[in-house]
Amino acid sequence: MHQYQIGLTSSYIALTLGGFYFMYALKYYISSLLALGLFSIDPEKLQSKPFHRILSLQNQDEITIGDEPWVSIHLPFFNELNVARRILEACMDINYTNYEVLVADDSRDTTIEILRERGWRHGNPIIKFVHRKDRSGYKGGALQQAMKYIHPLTQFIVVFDADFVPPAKIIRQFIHQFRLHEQDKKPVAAVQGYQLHYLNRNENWITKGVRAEFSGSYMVERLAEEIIGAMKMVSGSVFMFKASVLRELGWNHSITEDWDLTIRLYIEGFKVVYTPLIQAPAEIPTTVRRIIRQRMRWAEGHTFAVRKYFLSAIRSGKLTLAEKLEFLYFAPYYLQSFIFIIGSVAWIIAQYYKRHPSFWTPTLGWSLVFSNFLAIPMMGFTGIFLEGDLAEDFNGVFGFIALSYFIMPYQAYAALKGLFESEEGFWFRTLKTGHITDYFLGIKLRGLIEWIKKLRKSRELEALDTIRVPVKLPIRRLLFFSIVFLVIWPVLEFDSGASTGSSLVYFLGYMLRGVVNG
Amino acid sequence: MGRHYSVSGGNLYIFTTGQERLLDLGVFPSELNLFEAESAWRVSPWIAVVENVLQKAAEMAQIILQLNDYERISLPTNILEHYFLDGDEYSLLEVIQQASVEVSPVINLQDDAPS
Repeated sequence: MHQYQIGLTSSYIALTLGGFYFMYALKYYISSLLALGLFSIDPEKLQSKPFHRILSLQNQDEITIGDEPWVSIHLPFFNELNVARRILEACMDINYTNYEVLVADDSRDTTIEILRERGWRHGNPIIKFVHRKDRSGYKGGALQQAMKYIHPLTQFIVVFDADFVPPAKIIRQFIHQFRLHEQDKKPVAAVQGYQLHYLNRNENWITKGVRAEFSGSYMVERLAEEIIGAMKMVSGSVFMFKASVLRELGWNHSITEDWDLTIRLYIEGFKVVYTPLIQAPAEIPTTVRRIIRQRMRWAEGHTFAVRKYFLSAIRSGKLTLAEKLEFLYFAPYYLQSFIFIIGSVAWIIAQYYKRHPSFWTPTLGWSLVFSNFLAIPMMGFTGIFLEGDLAEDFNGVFGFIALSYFIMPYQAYAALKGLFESEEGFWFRTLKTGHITDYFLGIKLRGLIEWIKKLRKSRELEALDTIRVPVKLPIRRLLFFSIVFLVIWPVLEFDSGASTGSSLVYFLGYMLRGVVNG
Repeated sequence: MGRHYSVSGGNLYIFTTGQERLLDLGVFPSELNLFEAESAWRVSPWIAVVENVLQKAAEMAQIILQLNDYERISLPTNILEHYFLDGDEYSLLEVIQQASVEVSPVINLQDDAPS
């Protein structure tokens, strides 16, 4: 192929993929701005704001919920020798009366010896073990089996993966959220809390990277989804379901059973509520190999489910416009980094041959590359800033960037597999090690820390200040203006590259002329 | 109040009422494959259930249970299953009072549950 053609083709590929990815980047930037904005509201004035329910636990030391509906906590186990005892003990310490703990066990190792111990059978709380001799349907199969054996009075079901350590007040927090949304037009099926992957964050660069990633996802992305009323995922752990809805919909055998259930519940007219204030700390996978396997399963199962339910979801009259748009955004979710890499490489090739359309200047190309590249890291920075951990965890963002591009080809392969295969692949479990480097049973939230500080001052109890309050720097403003700049930079460049009129109109006209003239 | 076991629908049910606590499940040798990885079983604070237990294993289990002062009793499967769900002794005790305690030395998997 002629060099001119290679250069020009590359530039068009870069333009298309870069523009496509910019839609994702734009969402990340807007989400970061929304999260920064929400947490800049004075907590004491929050009650009068429209989004107060998201942070409604903030001013409550003790959550009063009145009567206690029966709750069944489900713990899916598969060879959890390192962590089984820890989560069972945490569940026994929960500050609630009417609940049971139901272990859905598929173990093939000596975890079974732990489950057989007599110490779990004192009846307060009730602990039930349901062991299967096969692993059919993986986690979804085990959870569906558990549904057969829940207490008949059960009104709510909570699920934790084995590596989590639920805090004592977590059931009350979940029920409080349900009660806040009782009058919502759309019925709430589930409340999703924050999977605070934190317990071994300082184990290595991978754990620090994943910690930053989850912080961006849970403190920023999901929070913005909640603010704008978009579709929110039930994410495998740290969520409470209405038992009646779960009885109706049931778990199926997908390798991403959580996402599959999420789509089905939205199609049926329910919704998921998210709050970052319900937090349960958990482990982080410690090796690249484990991360790759986990993410390949997510990518494959996620894409498979999107394909399976795509038309039902889009045609459903029960999803709002915001939920449908979010679903469309979720659809190619695991191909993002692939799209970004291909687009950026194409742009570099185009630059090498010095070929691009007239409206597509080198400055515009590079601004788009940088703006796209920095979108997820900025979300990570914002997330850990909002948690008050920026000074300690900022380097995790760099680990996360490295990790995300390392796993990109595997993730892209798995996503394509999920798109074209007739049946899903296997579930490769993520080993839980039980390692702890940082123990935390509270709420990681900068706003809350500030609020407690104010409260202590008002009560003249500064001497008891044991909470580490971050140094006051204009970081919030710095993040805010950096994000705004990164959003408008490509747009400004695009405009300046146009010769006449609006750059967008020019671009569309250019493309249209190209189509018309062949 | 008491210690009982029953075989119903091919399942072995070991249960207690009142203040009695279930026996240590480790008393069953792994060769019986009762509470092991390769069998399907359930345990709550008051009842343990092994599903689709083999005749030979059930016979051996019966000996161990009798050594631990467990009495065999015939109860409907639905009553036992409900007992697993909520641990409510009321309906169970009603049936137990009506049922006769069996002393058969050999378990027959086919005829334990009343029709």
